[in-house]
Amino acid sequence: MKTINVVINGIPVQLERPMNIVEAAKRVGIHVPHFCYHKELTIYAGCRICMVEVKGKPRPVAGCSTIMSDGMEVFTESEKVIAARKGVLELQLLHHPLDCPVCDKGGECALQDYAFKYGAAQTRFIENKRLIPVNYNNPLLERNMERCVSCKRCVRICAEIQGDWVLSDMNRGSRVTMESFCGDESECVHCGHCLSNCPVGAIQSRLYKHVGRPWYVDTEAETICPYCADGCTMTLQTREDKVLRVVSDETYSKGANRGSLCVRGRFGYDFPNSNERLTTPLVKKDGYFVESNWDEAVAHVAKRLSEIKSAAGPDAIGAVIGGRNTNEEAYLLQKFMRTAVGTNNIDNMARMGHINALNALEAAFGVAGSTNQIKDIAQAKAVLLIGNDAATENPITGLAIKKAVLKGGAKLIVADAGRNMMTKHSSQRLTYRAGSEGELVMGLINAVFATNMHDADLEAKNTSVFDKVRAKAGKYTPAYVSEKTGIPAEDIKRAATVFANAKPATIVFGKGITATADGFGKSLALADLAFITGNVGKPGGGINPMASKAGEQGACDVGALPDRLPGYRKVSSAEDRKRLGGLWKSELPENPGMTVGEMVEAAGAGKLQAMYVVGANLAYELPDTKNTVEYLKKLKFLVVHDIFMSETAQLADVVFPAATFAEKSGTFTNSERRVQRIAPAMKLQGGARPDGEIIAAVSAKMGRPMDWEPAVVMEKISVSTPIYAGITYDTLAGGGVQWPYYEEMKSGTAVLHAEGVTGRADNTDAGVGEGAALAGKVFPFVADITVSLYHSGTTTRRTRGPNMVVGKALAGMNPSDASGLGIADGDTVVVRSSTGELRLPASIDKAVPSGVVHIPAHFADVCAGTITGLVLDPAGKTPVARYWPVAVTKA
Amino acid sequence: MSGLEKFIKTIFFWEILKGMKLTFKTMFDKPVTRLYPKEKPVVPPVSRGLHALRRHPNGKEMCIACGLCAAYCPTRCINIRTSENPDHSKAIDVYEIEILKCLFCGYCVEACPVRALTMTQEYELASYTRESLLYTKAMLLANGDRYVGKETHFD
Amino acid sequence: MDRILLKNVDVPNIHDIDVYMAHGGYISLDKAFAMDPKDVLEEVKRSGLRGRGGAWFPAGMKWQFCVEVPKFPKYLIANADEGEPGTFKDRPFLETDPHQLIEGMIVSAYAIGASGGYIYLRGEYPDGYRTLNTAIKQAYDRNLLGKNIKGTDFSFDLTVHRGAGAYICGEASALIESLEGKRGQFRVRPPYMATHGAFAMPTVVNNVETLVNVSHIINHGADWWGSIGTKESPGPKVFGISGHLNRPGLYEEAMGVTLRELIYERGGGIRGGKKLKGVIPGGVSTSMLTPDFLDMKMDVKSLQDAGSAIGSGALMVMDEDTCIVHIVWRAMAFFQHESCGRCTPCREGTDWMLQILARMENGGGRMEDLDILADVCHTIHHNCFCPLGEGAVMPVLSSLKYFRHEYEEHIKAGKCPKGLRARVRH
Repeated sequence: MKTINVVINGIPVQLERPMNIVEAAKRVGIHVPHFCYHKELTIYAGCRICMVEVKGKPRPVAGCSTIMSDGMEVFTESEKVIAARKGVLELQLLHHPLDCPVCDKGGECALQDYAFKYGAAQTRFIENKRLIPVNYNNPLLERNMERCVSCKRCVRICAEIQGDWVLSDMNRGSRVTMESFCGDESECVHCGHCLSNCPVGAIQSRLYKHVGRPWYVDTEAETICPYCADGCTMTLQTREDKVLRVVSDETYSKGANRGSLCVRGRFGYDFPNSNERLTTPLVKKDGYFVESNWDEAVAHVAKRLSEIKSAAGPDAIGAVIGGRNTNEEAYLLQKFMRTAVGTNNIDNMARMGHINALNALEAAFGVAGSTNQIKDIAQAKAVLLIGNDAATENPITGLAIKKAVLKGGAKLIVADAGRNMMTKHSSQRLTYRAGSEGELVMGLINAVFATNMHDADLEAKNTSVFDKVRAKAGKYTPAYVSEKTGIPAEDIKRAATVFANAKPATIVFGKGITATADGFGKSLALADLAFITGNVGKPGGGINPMASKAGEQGACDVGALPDRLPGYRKVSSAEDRKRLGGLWKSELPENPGMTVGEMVEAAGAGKLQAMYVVGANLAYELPDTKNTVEYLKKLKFLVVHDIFMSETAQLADVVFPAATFAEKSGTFTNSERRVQRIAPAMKLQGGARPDGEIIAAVSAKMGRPMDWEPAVVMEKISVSTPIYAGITYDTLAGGGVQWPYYEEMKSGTAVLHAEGVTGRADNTDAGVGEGAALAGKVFPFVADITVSLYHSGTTTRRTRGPNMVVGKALAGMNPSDASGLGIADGDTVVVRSSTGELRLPASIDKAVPSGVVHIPAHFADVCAGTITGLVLDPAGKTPVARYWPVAVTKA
Repeated sequence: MSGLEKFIKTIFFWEILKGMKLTFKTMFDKPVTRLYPKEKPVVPPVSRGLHALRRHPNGKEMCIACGLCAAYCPTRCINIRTSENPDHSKAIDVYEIEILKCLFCGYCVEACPVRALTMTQEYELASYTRESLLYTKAMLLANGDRYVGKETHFD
Repeated sequence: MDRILLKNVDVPNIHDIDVYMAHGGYISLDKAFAMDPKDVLEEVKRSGLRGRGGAWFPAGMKWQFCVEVPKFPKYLIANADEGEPGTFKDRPFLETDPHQLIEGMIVSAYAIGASGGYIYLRGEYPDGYRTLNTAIKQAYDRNLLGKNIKGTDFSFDLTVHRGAGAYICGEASALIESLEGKRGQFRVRPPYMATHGAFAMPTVVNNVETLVNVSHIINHGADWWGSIGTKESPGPKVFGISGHLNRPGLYEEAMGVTLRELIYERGGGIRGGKKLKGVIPGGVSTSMLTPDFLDMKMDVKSLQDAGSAIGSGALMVMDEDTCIVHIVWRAMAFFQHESCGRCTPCREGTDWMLQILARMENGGGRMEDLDILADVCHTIHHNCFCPLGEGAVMPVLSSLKYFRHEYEEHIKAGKCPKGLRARVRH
């Protein structure tokens, strides 16, 4: 396209594409005032403050809705324009209350700035101001419509980016207000997009209300949200070493999340301030914790571990690192275990499911990671979302899917056994019987082959792989799959047609696949589906596994796995052991170690005598809580690092107080392989120390000193971990890098396998198993145990915001099931399984399919692990605990 | 000048007498210095003494905790902590002025949009401890109460 | 002149299709279908037909834009949302003689190539809704609507959509938003309605009276039709005359009739033999005029020269006892109530002006209020988003121009000289 030459305030500007005046002016550093314009939203042209003068036009024109054409001459600060702005501002301020001194937006308010620059000092309005009561319908947001400038950005962002349509503009004319329709906030997911997008103080956070002012902020650190694995960039503001609030990027362009946050990120920030934080190392003496000091506690740990090592051998010691820890810490822990202790008994909490997806993707395409990036999903023309509720588990991935649907017109197929909040955006919903995920995926593959919708060019190059997949899918005819899954055969065919004919199409999946029996085989089948439809290696295509916690992907990458060294090199490979052993100046153990589940079982059997748990709450997150606690109690020695006195820490012999993400630096790797830096926003609280420092101290005491400063550790990782080669803190500056990183291009890899893929790298093969129906006569329901949007574990239970919205666990039940059992909304129900029972209030929810009880996994008083058993899947040794047969009765 | 005149001036120490003229004159004037601790000066109304927080006639504090005084303060000696009351109004939990850091520039008073903060004629601030020079809200309010009606400074 | 559009309004049961056909109805269809759609469009263009809704945009040109867009289906919408105070000229075509509108729409749709049609009917016309629906059903029964009309390839479906009582939905893009089920608000242009109209398809929105004229143009030829009225704004026009007249009502006249003729001959002069104080020539959103303009011709150009507009041809006559401030306050109350709330100048400006005018009428006026009114009018007129705001300032601006002394009297006297009061909303 030909360039457009325009003149703005006398400065000639060249535009390579047509754009509006506001954006064009931004190019040359001229700010055109605006309220209602936002580049990510549709043009509204309502505020009329962006009026500019265009040469040859008698009246000022709106800068947001006027597209620049060749030869246009614009004046943004001429006398006429200033007069127009002054007039509009006078009207804007007519009813605006003069409460800037107590408005929390004061100091960062667009209206304030413009009024200061253009407005008259005194109003000519002598009538009474409009009085509107403040709206407190929302637990986290306050809406003060007296302050509203009616720019409708909140309404538009709620509809266009968040896709929830909670807010609407009620009434008309001067009585217009932005509120939820008829006060119904039930659809609100408290993402706070409206809050971050309000140019004035009309929408305010109730957590931050009257707490701070912009000039109270001492430090501001751009960091990464520590909750889910979407890896959202956000800014922490602190005052006097307390987190004041979280702000997101108002331009909606930074990071993997492009400025968006969910309720956990935006409102779940105050756990570092909690007064429940551990402050000193605790050593258990005679069954009671005694406050100790660092030197003593570290020496004690080193001594006990050395004793056990020499008495029972290194393999009697195991270590687990949790999902909240950084890559550097995971690396240090596995290095500590492999060198100082001398065992491969190291695992991380990706074992709860995500590891299956990584192993399957490695088996299929050779790289253990998502093939694409999250924002790519928005380009897809069809999305298969299976076993993952992206709207609650990975909300920012959910936004990318919504963008594909709302902006790109993509077809969304939602396949899930339980409740899925993405259903309202879907064009097709497939509700399968829990356990029959594999049959459904194979059924889709079968249907694709049956109608010859697979990629024929690719087949010509990869005949053997295609033949293998075709043969495997042979028996999964629509009729057979329909019988197994309970989905009508027509629906399966329709879904296969939609998915195979859309180019590009992408797959997003999560724990509903990976944390079930044969999770590895099912993930592999999904990889096959992406491969045969020719979507691998294409932007907007590919296959995206969703990890559940921020540190999971990274911990696997840097080798916190019992059978893998950093970079997924096999422990069994002598060559890799030798290379790493050379770097670490140590002989590395060659036998693969135990996984988390195996360690707990071994502890019960007395084979494992000591455990070193960093930031993982095993007694809570693992299934079969009762036995897990029993087994952990049998350990001779248990060391726990945690920020709170978690259920596991209570069982420990030594507890080290750890630093939160707000106090340390490091990196997280998100689901899309993006390595991103977190930065400290405040000083270490109490006596807490970063986990890496503690590990290094223990290691040093055991005769293996290590550097623990995160930047130095990252340099070592880049040497020892091939997939992280070239990644240092310098290359990570400015938004992180998706590994693998290419020095010569100075960039990471957004789309893997873009140069072509050959399918099965190694000849791994795994079936999807037999999806036997979980529900039976004794236990007629299936418990669907998932994370809630508002909670994700130990930390969120100590945050104010999420607890204000959802404070307790509710058992979601289908109305027909509930009425069959005589259960009304709010009644206490007993959910009983073969291992235990839970008592919690029921919530009648149409979104929960019949035959399923929805149990949230992360509440203090109702531990979902009580009703599950510890069953390890043979392939990945992952605990199979996503779905569990239960019986429900009214209490 | 004649020799005689010079002679007379010399023997009578004329130059010294001339110099002493001012001394003798001021001997009968009112002294300009004061016996300070015993005698207190009358402070002009616009002097900038210790800060005070004012109250409304009904006894309610005037301060709305907007934080503008803290924002304007060149030495950052004002510390305010606020929270939300059950009725959603703004509660002042902490309002402290660290007098040791204060320059008495009066910018804080100038910044106050509701004229809650003012300066009084109180100038005797010396103390033996640092802690006592951290003026809390209660102390500032008490100072305001002492000066009711006299805080004419910026009104 | 002989009535053309209102020829049949007095015929009993003209709403029935048989009666209508007996009086020469639907013959333009045969004529049109015998022609190429392009020729029908050419004929309309040649006639010089201009939109009767108020903007007076050449109808043929509007159609041409739509025809040139190669997207299907296209839509034709009859704008029957006449909500402006003083306007009632479309009522006979909605409530008495609906087939004339339907016939016009079929011919127009044929010319444009539209396959879907809507009559966006004002919510306050329940009779029209019933009548139109019955008429449409009859037309479907006679294969005048629906698939393959009269055995041709041309198909056209017509639906009546009722508005919910918003003045702004009389504006084409807001009408389309409302029709799509959204909040009735002006759309950002471009894209224009001719390319992205209803359901993002090419759309023509025409006033009811414009569409009614089309069948007559085809029936009698563009030359005959164009010979009526003035050269630059030809054709017959229905004027709705209201106010302090002896015989208010609807009068069909050729364009170019003088104001004096309308008021003193058709309207029967001022009630009670009083003197004329002023007229609002085309609905409240047009500037008011003084008796000095009595000999002005009612056509687009003359009114433009006089600083006003012909609008929808809704003439409102005020006698000497009228309080202008009260009239302007009443008009502003309407605009304030109807302002959609999207753009700041109109939303806040109309509200402020309403409060000032009410205060003035109730005796609290100040001289500086007149400057404020002028300033606010200027701000709205220059910065507002849609024509509603531009129309809203017209009564104020024109009354300040011609009747400033009345405002001053109010301010000096501290009350309304006519003893009127304005209701104040709390």
